[in-house]
Amino acid sequence: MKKILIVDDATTVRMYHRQLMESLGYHVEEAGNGVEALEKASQDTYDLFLVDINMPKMDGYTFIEEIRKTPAVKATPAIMISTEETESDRDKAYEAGANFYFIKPVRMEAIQTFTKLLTGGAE
Amino acid sequence: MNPMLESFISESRDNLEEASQCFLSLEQSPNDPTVMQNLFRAMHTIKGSSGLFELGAFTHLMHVAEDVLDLARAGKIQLNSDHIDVLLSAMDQITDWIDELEATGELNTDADNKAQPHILALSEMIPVEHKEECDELSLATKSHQTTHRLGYSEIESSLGCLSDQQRFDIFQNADQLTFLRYTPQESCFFTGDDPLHTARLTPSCQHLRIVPVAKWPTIDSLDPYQCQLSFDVISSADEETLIDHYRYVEDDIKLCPLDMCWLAFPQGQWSDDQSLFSDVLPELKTHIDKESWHNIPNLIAPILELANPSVYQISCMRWIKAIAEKEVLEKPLIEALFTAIETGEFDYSLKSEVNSDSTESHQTDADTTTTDTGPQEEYLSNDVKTLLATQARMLEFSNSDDLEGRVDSVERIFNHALPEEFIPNNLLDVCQQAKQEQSANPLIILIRSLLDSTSPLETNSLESTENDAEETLDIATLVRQEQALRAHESEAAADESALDQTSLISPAPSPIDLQQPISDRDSTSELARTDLSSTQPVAKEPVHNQKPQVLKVDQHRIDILMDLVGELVVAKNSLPYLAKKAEDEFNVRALAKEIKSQYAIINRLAESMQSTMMQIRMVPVSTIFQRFPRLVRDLSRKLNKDVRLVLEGEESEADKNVVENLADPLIHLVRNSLDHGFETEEERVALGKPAQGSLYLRAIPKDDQVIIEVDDDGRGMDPAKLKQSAYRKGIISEQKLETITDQEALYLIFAPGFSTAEQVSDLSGRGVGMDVVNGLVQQAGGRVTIDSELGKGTTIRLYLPLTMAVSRVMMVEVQQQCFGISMENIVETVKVPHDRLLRIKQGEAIVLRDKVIPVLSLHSLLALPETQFEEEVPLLIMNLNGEDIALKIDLFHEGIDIVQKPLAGLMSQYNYYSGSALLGDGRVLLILNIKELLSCQ
Repeated sequence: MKKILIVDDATTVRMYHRQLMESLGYHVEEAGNGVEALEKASQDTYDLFLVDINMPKMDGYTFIEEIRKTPAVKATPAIMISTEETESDRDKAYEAGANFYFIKPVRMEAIQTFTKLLTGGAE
Repeated sequence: MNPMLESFISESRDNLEEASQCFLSLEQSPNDPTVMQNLFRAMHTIKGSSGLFELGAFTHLMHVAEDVLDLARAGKIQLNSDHIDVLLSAMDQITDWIDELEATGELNTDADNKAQPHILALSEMIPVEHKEECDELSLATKSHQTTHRLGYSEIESSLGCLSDQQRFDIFQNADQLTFLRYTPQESCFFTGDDPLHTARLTPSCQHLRIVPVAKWPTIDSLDPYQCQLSFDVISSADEETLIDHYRYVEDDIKLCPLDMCWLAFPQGQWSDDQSLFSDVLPELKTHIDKESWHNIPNLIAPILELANPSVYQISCMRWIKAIAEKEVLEKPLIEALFTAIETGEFDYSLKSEVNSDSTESHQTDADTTTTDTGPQEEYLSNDVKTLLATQARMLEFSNSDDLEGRVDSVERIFNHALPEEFIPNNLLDVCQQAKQEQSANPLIILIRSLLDSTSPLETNSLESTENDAEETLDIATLVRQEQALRAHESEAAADESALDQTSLISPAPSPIDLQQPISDRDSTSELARTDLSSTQPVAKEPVHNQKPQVLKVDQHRIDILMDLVGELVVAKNSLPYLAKKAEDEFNVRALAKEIKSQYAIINRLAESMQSTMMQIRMVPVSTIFQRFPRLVRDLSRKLNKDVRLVLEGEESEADKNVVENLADPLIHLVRNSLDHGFETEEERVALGKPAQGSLYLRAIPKDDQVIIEVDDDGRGMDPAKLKQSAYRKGIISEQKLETITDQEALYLIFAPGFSTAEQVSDLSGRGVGMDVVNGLVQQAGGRVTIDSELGKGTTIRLYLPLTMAVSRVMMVEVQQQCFGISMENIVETVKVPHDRLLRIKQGEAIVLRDKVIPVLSLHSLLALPETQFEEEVPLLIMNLNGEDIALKIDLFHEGIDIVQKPLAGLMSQYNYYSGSALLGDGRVLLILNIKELLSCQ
């Protein structure tokens, strides 16, 4: 079973994403901020990171930047999830090294399609 | 309630709390970047999460507030106290909404109206030159935002009421249409509105229909002065013009653009006689297939002239002709009409809803749905292209640090996302090359060439796929896709596909879902699933996670557990009795010994259970202290007194109930202090005091109590004034006026009906006086003391027990009856020779350490026969409201911990008992309320 790490400081959003992802057959773990997420990522292998931007301690940009520089996890795809819809916000995510960008609240169909593509399916 | 909504509510409360604290500290230090950052994050989280629940007004208001903060964070607005007032009041509105959500699960319908003044006030804070920087969504299109939108489903029935001919006329007369529903308020006649007039003057009105809002009431209950009508208007004017026309009643209108295609559906009597038009059908089909629209009108016109217009098939044809003439060219629509001629079934309404925007999104539909069965044979799906284009963009940002990571992740995505035959043979080499050259270019070029070669229809692949990406992510499209999928599924007789199940989980995929709770759809499996997923975070948490885990539990359950533990503590006390019985009555010494040793173990367990239980219920007093910075700030601004609030010891803990009961008395004390205690700034300066007043709120843990101090350096209380005032109000007699000490005079403020305020202000002195404070504190098992020095300030101390659940009482005996007296008021116990009791007038007194203390007899208070003491008299010295009294009793027993239960039934009216408790041997102990007893004297 593929593993997804949801990184978001809002419990509600984590709960929402967890339900989405689990319904798609993924194993889900959660982290409340970038620091916690890095720690988890160093202890376990994940197939995808779902990352919020605004978080305490370490924000989503920094987290993804760190991921890309850390040999063990650098190749793991990351999706950035944000409330902003402008081109420059998208570019900021790509600049940090995110492989895809979603606008909150993400919808079933979109996330289903793209997580499948990014992870090669849940199995 | 939906567990997600529950989580949202509790999380938002925390964030609101944090936000309001940040606002207050911002006022002190406006440029503190950490505070700003925390504030922004708290607000952002609330906004972001609220997006999950389709709370339009809520999200909108948060959005505007966030915009303002964003500008402030960037230094484009300097926040002053007035700004913070506005922001705080907006947050109050959000808090109200959270309460609403908690109570009802949804926002009231007036949410938009409530949000409006806040949004206006907030947007006024934004300087003109920054206006456009803020999101269009929240500010620029204010009028559009507040205008309610209609969905197709809402206007469908209205369209159905139009005759074929009417729709046909409208269709031919106009190129663009707007549907508007105007529902005047019932009381509109009294506000000078003339709804009919307004509706009839609608610009470019094509059709006006008047319908009653509800079923007409019977004639005797009909109120003709209330407007019961709603107006459905179809106009060919654009939305701007319409909104402008209805600007005075903007809240009462809803509108939506009316797709021309929505008008086109056939009506009429199905005719079995196909002979009239069966000749033209093949030719018509050819034209449709070839899309040679201009030939259609000439082909159909002769038939239309001959045939009966009320025939269903003719209606279809007429529409085909009209659509062909008009260049609205919706091929699926014409095809649907054509099918209708043959089969009598017009199957378009759903589709038109699905792709009301354009045929392009229809294509996206097809692609998204086919990704499940794998990408199409010849070309990569749009989704994959989107993904690849995104990767190219991402790679463009590479730098030497993270290049390898980026390239590796893209390589992995290639392998995941692309069907095998599409993975370029040279992928590995290109990735290697990129890493060696320290440049992502080779990989970017590879991606571009892949996109070009697989999208022969598109000229500029990168740009168009980027657009695609936006389209795929467009929420509206996705919702439609989902609806289409669902409709599709239900047609396919609801087979248990994974898709169907998953779409059930998504909490708010469409407006329909909101009205219908998710669990209603498939209650058993859905409930099980929700249950499962809500417990999973706990169950699946890996063992190595050292983070302290917090469990939120309903307080009610804790209370039950607490009661049970309390009863256990009492029940275990029966074991020593049992041991004694075994020894004395049954002469089984060994058993008695065993019971005793077992008792020791149970006792230890019960006690540690009790203390753990207490700790669970302990909360820091900061939970209520946090409210005060805001309160003091608002009040001092209102009263124009400069007061600094200092919180101390807020980490001290006490039982949750105690802390909660503390809130109201404290608010009252702080209000009093600000209103009456502090002088105005000028007065203070004249008195030589610092211009800024200081108010200290301290929590001091002491033994098994916590002392809360409200300490101000204001004008203090004047005992002489208090005495006079109390005398005037008949609270004390003339005799007492002379004898009362200054210290005692201070306690006069606790007397019911006492208020020193010359004028009742709107802050305090609303008839709820210090007596209520005193009552509340006593109810929580505490007491209040006052220290005040004229001109220097006042200190009011609340002594509160750490817990209310178990209280300590002293058992006393009077005439062979046992009673409990709360330890809180007991100062000491003494035994004095009976000749030391002095007789003064009717009463008795005793001189104890040079102090005269009146002696009362509990016997007489309880109407029991007096005991004649031969030698020593046991006395209980108590302190009530700062006054000492001695209580004569027969015997002291031990002090015990009890779980006090209020008296029930008939007994509950005797308020000189504060409650009852069960003793270890099964007896019931009545607890006396000495204060009440004294007042009955």
